Amino acid sequence: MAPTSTTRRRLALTMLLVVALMAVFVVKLVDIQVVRASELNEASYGKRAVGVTTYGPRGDIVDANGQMLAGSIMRYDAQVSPMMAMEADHKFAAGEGTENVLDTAAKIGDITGQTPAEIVAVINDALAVDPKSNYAMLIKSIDLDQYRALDALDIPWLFFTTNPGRTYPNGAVAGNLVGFVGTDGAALEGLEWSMNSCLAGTDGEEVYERSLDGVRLPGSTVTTKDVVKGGQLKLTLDLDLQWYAQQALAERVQEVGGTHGMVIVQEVKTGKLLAVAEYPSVDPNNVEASAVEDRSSRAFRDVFEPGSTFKALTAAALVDAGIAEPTSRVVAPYSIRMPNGADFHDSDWHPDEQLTLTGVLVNSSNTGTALFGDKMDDNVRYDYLQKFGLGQKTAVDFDGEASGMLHPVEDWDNQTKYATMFGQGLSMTAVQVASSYQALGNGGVRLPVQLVEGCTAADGTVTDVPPASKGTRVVSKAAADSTVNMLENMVTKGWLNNVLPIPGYRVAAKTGTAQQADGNGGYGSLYLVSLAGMAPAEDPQYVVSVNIANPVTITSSGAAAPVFQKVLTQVLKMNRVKPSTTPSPDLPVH
Amino acid sequence: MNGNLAYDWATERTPRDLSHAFPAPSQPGPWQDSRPSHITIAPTRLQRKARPRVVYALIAAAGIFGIIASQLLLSVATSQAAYEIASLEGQATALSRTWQSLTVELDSVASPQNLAAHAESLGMVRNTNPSVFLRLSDGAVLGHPAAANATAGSVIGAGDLVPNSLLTQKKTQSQKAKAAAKKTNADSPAAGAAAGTAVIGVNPPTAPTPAVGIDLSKTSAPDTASAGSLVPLQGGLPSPKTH
Repeated sequence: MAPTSTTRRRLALTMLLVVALMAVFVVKLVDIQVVRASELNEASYGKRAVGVTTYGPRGDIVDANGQMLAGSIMRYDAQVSPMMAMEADHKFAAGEGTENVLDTAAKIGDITGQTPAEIVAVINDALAVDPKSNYAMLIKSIDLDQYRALDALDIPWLFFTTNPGRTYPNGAVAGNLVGFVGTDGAALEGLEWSMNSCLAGTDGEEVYERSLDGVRLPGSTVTTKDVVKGGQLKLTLDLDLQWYAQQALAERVQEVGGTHGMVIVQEVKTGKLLAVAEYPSVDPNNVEASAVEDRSSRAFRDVFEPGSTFKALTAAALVDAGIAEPTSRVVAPYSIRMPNGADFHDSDWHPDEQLTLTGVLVNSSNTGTALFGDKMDDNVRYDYLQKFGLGQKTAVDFDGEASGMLHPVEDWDNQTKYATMFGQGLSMTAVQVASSYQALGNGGVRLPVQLVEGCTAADGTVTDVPPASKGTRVVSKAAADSTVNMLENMVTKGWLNNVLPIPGYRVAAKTGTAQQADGNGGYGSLYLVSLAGMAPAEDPQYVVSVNIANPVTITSSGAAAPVFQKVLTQVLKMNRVKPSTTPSPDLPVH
Repeated sequence: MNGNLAYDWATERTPRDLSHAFPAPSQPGPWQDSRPSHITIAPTRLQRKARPRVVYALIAAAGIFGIIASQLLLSVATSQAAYEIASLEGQATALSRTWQSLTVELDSVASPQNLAAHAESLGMVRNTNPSVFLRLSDGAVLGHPAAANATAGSVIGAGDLVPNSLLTQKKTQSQKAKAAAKKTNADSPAAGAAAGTAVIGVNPPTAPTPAVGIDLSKTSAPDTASAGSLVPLQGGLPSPKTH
C-alpha cells in the first residue's frame, strides 16, 4: 500500500523536528565543549583546587659565634565568631548547652591573660555593630603553648590563623643595633630595617586539589611560586661580651646619675666591632617599654664633642710630623691667652709647670696641648684629623649614622683653632672615637669599621661581606707606637692609676671630660665623660671606648673608668690574651 | 589505558587479516554456475595461522581485566596513602612547631641575663682579676693569681639591667597555659554545673533584657613563680673527675 500524502507529511514533520532537536543539541555541545570550554574547566578546577600560601620565614640575625639575636617564630591570632558565641549562650540559657559563654571566657582568659569581661566585651562590641557578625579578633600573636591550650578547649566559636612573628631571645642585648619589626612583620629599625633585603623571605604559593573531606589528592600539587627563605645575617658582635658591657655600663650610668652611655669594643687588627653597648637599650620584644629616643643606636647616630680623649690624636700627628717627641717639653700655665686672642684654661688650677708631651697627656693639660699644637700648620692638622676618620661616616654605614662635624680650616675662629686640638669644636660618634684609637693601636693604620660579617642566603650564597681593605695609614708606626706608650704612662701615672691598671697587662688609655654644647652656641653645665684605650699596649689587640653622658654624682672621667677597666678585663679574659711580659715604659712627665 | 591497549591489538592484527584472510580471485568458468565444484580452496599455512583463536581472545580479555583490576587496586592504595600522607604532614607540622617553640625557649633560657641570674643564685661570682696562665713547657705562671671577691665579683648585683621581656613573659604565660590545660582536663566532666547568669548578645529569645553580668571573682589569680627559678637545677652540679 502506497503511503498517503498525510503520512508523508507527518513523517517529514517528525524528521524536521528530530533534525531541529539535533541541531539544538549540537549547538549546545559546541558551546560547552568548544566555546566555553576553558572557562568551565577553570570553574570545575576551582571547585576542586585550593591555593595555599607557603610561608617563607625571615632570616635570623646571629652574632659572630652563630648565637641567635633575632629569629622568626610562628604565632597565632585567635578570633571569635560573635554570632556563634551568642547562639551557644542562648542555647545554654534554654537549658541545652553545657556551658555559658562567661565560663568559657574565663577559661580562655586563664590562657590569654585577658579578663572574662574583656572577652565578653569583644563579643558584645562586635554584635552591637552587626548582630550577625562572624568575626572579631580576640587576641593577636599568642604563642604555641597558648594556641594549643586554647585549641584543646575545643570551643566551636573560637578559631585561629597563623601570624609569623619575630623573636629576640636575648632581649635588649644588642637591641639597639638589631632593631625590630612591627606587628605586621614590616622592618622598622636598626639592622632589621637596613638589611631587610638580606633578611626578608618571599612567601610561596601552591595549588592542589582536595577531596571532599579536605585531603590533598596525590600528585595534584602545583607550585606556582617558589618559597624563598630569608638570608642569615651574621654580625661581628660577641653576644656575651655585648651583654656584659651593657650590664656594666647600665649599672654605672645609674650609679652616677647619667642620662645615657655607650661602650664600644673593637678588634684592633681587623676593625671588627665586638660590642656596641648602649644604655638605655631597647628590648625588641617589647619596644613600647622604651622611650622613642632610646629605640635606635646612639653609638652610631649621636654625635658629641669628644674632649680630652682627642689629645692622643693631636699628639700622634705631632710626633708623626716630627714636630714633637714624647720627651719634648713646654711650660704649661693654668690659663693662657694665645697670640690670636683665644683664651682657655685647664680643668684644675696649677702653677706654671714644665711638661713633656707625655706629661701633657698624663695631666690632660689643655694649655700644654695648645702650645704643642700651635707648632703645626692648621691645614696639615686638618688632613690628619680627616685621616683619623672625622667628619665621615664609618664603613659600617649604619642606618641613620651621623658623620660628625669637622669644620673646614677657613671656618675655624681663633677659639676653634685651639679647641680642636683638645677635642672641642668638633663632634664625633662613639664608634668614630673607637675607630681613631684603633688606628693608634694598629701601628697607625685605620681599618674600616666592620659590624656585618655577611649575609648567607638560603641557597648558600654569601653577600654583603665588606670588601677587604688594607686600611688608611694615618700616622707612621713609630708615631702610633710612641703615642700608645705615652697613653700607658697616663694609666700608670695619671690620677686614675688606682682604677685603670689591669694586673699583668700593659694598658694604654686617655680620659675625657667634655663640656657639651647647650644647643645655643655655648657650653652648658653638662659633661660627657669618657675613657678610650687599648690593651695589651705592647701589641694592642682590643680597643675599648666608654662614654657616659651627663653624670651627676661624678662629673669627671672617674665615672667611666671602672666600666673601662671591667670591660677591658673581660675582653682580655674572653679572648685568652697572654699577660704582658714587659712593664710599661717609664717616660718623663716633667 | 584500556583504549591504548585495544588500539595496539587492532593494528597488530589488521594488516594480516586484510591481506591473507580472503581467497585470491579465481578465473570465472562456465561450469561454476551449473554444478557444484569438487575443488575446495586449501588455505595456506599463513592464512590458517592468521585466523583468530579463542585462546588469544581469552588472553586479551584476561589481560584487560587484570589491568583494570590492578589499576583499581592501585588507586585504592594511592588514596589510602593520601590520608596517611595528610596525617603525617599534620604531625610533621605539629612537631616542627613544637621544635621551633622549644628552640626559641631554649635560646631565651640560654640568654646571658638568665645564665648570669642562675649562676649567681647558685653562689657563683665572676673573678674580677684577669686570667692567669700556666705555661706547660716550664711550669711558669703568667699573670697574677688572685682569689675572686664575692661582692666585687657579682655582675648583676645591682639587678638585671639588660631587659629581656621573653624571660618574664614566657614564665607567666606558659605556666598559665599549663595551669589552664590542667584545669580543663579536671573540669571537663563536671563542666556546666554552674548555672549561667550572664546573657550575651542582642535580643536573646529567652531572656527579656540583654545583660552582661560578670562575676570577676571566678577568675583565678595568675600563678607566678618566684623570681630566678626558671630552670630548677636538679641533682646539683656534676662533680669533676680529675686524673
